[in-house]
Amino acid sequence: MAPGTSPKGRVDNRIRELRRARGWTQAEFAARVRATRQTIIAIEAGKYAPSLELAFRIARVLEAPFEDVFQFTLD
Amino acid sequence: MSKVEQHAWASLIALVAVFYYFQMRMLDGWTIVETTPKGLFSLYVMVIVMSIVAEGVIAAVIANKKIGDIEKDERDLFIEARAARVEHVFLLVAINVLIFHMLADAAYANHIFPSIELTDISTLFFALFSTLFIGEVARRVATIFYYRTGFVV
Repeated sequence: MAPGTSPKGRVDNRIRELRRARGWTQAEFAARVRATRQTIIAIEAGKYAPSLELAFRIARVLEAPFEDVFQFTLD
Repeated sequence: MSKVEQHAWASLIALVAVFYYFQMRMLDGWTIVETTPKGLFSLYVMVIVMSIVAEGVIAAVIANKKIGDIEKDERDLFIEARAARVEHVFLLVAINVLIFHMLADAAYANHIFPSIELTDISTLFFALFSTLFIGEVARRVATIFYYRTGFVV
């Protein structure tokens, strides 16, 4: 990569898998992380990358290390 | 569907209805009807009141609907901000087009661009008010578009 150019990356997550393992619906999980159900749907589908604050809240609610929930890949 | 998206849909329908009423009062076919300044002023007040009442009713109805524990989060705010930027860009372009025509008409009698008679108060009122309306419509359409497409960032 040339100096000064910004890399493009992709944020993947295992939220759906970890949420289902705890038996929570999207609505229940949304209430726990203080987000709307639509936002959880978008995050799980990889259509929306949450802010750092929401990402940490999600990891904390799922009681999993941040890196287990979110993975960042450079394109 | 989140409250913000519901509001955008309802508001879009109300805006289009009010804009349709405005067009009916101002246009005869494709021609702008010449109206007295008092007539334009009463139409202006009427349309503003209609818009405020419509938005008030929509806000009251949607506020009473229980959708979930959280009604608005960071994604809703991002979408609102992105849609507001769409409106801002639209208004910037539209107002510049009007300024361009106004100055071109005044400066060059035989320019090649389509002429808009903005020195006439009915035409000026129609052009400015329509621009505002279409800008608002663009914001609602952008909001709905971002919700429907998932708002990929």
